[in-house]
Amino acid sequence: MPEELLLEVKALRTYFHTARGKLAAVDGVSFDVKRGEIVGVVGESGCGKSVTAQSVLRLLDEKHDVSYEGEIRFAGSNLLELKQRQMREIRGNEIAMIFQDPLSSLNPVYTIGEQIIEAIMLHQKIRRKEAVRKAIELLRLTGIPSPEQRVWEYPHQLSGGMRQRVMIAIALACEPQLLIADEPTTALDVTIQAQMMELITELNRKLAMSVLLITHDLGVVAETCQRVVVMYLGQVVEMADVASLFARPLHPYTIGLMGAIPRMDSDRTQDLQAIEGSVPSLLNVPSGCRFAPRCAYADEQCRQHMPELKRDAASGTMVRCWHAGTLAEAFEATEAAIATETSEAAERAEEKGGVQHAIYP
Amino acid sequence: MEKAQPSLHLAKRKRAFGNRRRGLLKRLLASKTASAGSVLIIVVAFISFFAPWISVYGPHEVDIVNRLSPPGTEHWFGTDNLGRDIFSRVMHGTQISAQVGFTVALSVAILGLVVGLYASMYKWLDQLLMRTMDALFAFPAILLAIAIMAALGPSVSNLIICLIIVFIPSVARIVRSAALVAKEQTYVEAMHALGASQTRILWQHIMPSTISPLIVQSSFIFAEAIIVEAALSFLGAGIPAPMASLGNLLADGKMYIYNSWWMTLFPGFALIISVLAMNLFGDGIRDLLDPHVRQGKGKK
Amino acid sequence: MPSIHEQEGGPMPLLEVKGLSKHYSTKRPASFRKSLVKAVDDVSFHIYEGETYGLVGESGCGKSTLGKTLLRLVEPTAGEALYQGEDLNRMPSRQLRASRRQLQMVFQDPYSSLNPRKTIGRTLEEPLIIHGIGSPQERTELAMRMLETVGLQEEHYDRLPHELSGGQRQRIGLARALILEPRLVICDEPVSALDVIIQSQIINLMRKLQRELKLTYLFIAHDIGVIRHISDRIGVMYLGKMVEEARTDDLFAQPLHPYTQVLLSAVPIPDPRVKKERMILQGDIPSPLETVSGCAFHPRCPFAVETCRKLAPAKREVAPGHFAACHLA
Repeated sequence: MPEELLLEVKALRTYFHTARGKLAAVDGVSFDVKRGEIVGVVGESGCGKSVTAQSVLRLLDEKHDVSYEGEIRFAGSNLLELKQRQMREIRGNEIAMIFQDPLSSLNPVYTIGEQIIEAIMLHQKIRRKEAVRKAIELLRLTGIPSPEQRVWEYPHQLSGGMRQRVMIAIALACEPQLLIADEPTTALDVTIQAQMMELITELNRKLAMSVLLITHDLGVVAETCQRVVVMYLGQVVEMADVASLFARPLHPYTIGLMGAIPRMDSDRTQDLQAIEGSVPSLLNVPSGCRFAPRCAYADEQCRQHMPELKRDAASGTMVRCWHAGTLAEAFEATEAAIATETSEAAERAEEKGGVQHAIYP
Repeated sequence: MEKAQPSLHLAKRKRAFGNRRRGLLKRLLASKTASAGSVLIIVVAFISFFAPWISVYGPHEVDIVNRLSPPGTEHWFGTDNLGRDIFSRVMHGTQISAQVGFTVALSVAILGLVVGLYASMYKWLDQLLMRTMDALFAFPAILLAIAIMAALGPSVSNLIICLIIVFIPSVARIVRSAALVAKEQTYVEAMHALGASQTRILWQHIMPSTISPLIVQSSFIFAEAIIVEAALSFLGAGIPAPMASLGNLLADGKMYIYNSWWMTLFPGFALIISVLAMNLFGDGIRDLLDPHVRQGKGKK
Repeated sequence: MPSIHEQEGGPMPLLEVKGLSKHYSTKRPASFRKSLVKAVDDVSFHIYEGETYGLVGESGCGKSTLGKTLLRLVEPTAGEALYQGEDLNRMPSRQLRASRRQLQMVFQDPYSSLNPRKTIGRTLEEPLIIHGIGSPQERTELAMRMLETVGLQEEHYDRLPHELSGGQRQRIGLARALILEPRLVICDEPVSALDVIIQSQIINLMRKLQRELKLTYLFIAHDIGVIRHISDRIGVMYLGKMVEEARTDDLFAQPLHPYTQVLLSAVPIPDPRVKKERMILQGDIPSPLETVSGCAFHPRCPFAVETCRKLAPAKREVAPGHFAACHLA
């Protein structure tokens, strides 16, 4: 597959103009998405990941007083320079988006068929009969059983997982090159989440559609994404391919995020590694490294000077930390300890006669 | 040292409370509608309170010689068909209207609050209340008021009772619906889990969230009561004749409207101002209280 | 942390639930017929003093209703809930209010579970006032001490809930439940509305408080990782029924019920090196409105046989302390 760049975000800054001043919700973010690739953006709420996604489609323009700096290059043109009319051509047609809450994203007074057909006819000049056929096809593609009947049902008649499938069907209506999924599974149950992620990766493979996946769930990222962008307080703090990020996380924030999740193989007698405090407000952004006030390793240098996003020589990871190398080694050492422990635990379980053992790591 | 902390803390606490109250007052003054309404209310209240001292003539002083004299330096608003001073009568009329309006609004607020709150708690009361309300709502307010007045006989206190009956349904409904919303909040469930009694939950935790719609509705009822009172008096079913209510003044002026316009104009104007004052105040308060409640929710 | 009461016949459980059910009758949409929803259906389990009992399941499985039924925030239809031998479901309301001192609850939504009009101090003192504990000054002191216990400062005493972050609010929710010094705390999805890092802080705090205050938790959650981390024993619920119950390590080493297996395999693992064979379930979680004959899980179960369609399986002890409601286990 050619390594062709589909989306390239360069030094993006998104400002909200509020009564309390100009706030940079996204502050100098650069990343790219290649054709056919799934890129994950992770971070806590308030880290700017959703705003970044919405900036790409310029969805904030209408509701908020926003301004942008930098570039968002999509298939050659800079989205930030386009007029609203041109932007509408791109939205839904070349870049589609699905949201967290599938119920409020669907209009309750129209059948799901009507809504898919509307999305199709908005950008494609085809007859209605043709559009109906296509809508049914899309519902089948997204795994909705008996789509011929379902197409004339209303959103409230469907379950949460089904509605999210409908949202994906609408998003796929015009065969977009890029799908932006903003926390697509957060509102769903774990078995349904597994179905959804399976669907998204399958569509990515089948249609060679790139996906920008916004999520807070590192488990989802590990299983579906090829590359990951970790954000904190409007900035990229770490960016790497999935394998090296999980094998050798460099930024203390990334390490903290990983330690905060109760894993299926972790030692239950230990406390979780919890980062102190919470994400500060954009109104008082710390000076120096933005993570320094919550970072256990921060020193004077961190509090005074903001580190640049630099390439780590060993792994090729981009990281924004003064102490990146030393921290990674410490992390690897503890990981190794855990790994031996779990393999021992697995052996013990095997001795007991673990029939379903294959399912569990 | 441990002991010292709470008392130090109490001082801080009072200060914080003062700040919050001052904040509300500040925002009241910042809102144009609310402050315009407040100014008008103060003017109306001042006039109705000091009416006996401001006017030179008594409202019932008959002066046949100077009957129907136009506005001038002697009688600012002119005189009526019996030579009574319109200025004095308008001020006394405003006073009576404001008294009626205030008494009605306050009583309706209290009774409506109690009825509405308990209706949100007990199903049988809710059913009873809502069916009664439906029946009361089926009549136009004026018609109902006339019927009640006919049964009770004309007097100021009967008029007030009549208006209370007419207006309770709307307030009780508003309180009930606000209470039903609050009842579904998890913090109310949390109070149940803590072992709080029904009465405590109702008055301590549900009642506060009904207060702002209640205040808004009461101020509109104040205005409504003035209008209905005037209408009833105009029709002769309200405040008994010699008393100077705004409705009576308008009724008196009706006969002479082509020759003595001042008999109708000035009471009419007073009526408009009183009603406008309350409506502006109500609108302003509504805008003020709504975002205050919303502030706590919807972080993202 | 394995429970000290490993076997049956140990000391009396703190809470013993027997055949608890909550059925609703609801009107079907666009129909005059009423149908019965079995939100909780004949659930039995017990909780020993000092342990954490995890209740896990997907939305609509009845785990939250079960928690609320125990405190009678929702009136049960049938069954017993014996707290220290006394049936909570038959208690007159006055006695029930008194026993609520020992049974407390932490709620899911840190935004709606605090009264937006009351200061934090007032919120914390409210339970003390209800149960007539202490003078105003003592109550203030207790509230201050409680703030410190849950990792907040005295300055938070005068704040209103909207001035606090979600994590801080959940700490207040915890403080409010603990200020009466309860023995059993029912935690209804206490961390699921929080971000991962805040979630880890609250979980650590809850474990610390459990050790220090000798608390017993009934921990309700849908996050399997969280449940595994905090629980000593776990009950898995599906459509109002408890399908499996075991000590945490046993459950994860050897899940017996197919639903438990599916549930565990659905959890994404934050490690790209692990490529697991996932069991993906067909279809959605069925609506509790639809009544299913036989085993409630059979329409989605990959292993279902004829018996499963006809006969509802009873919960039975498959291994010591390991119960499952499945014909095939």
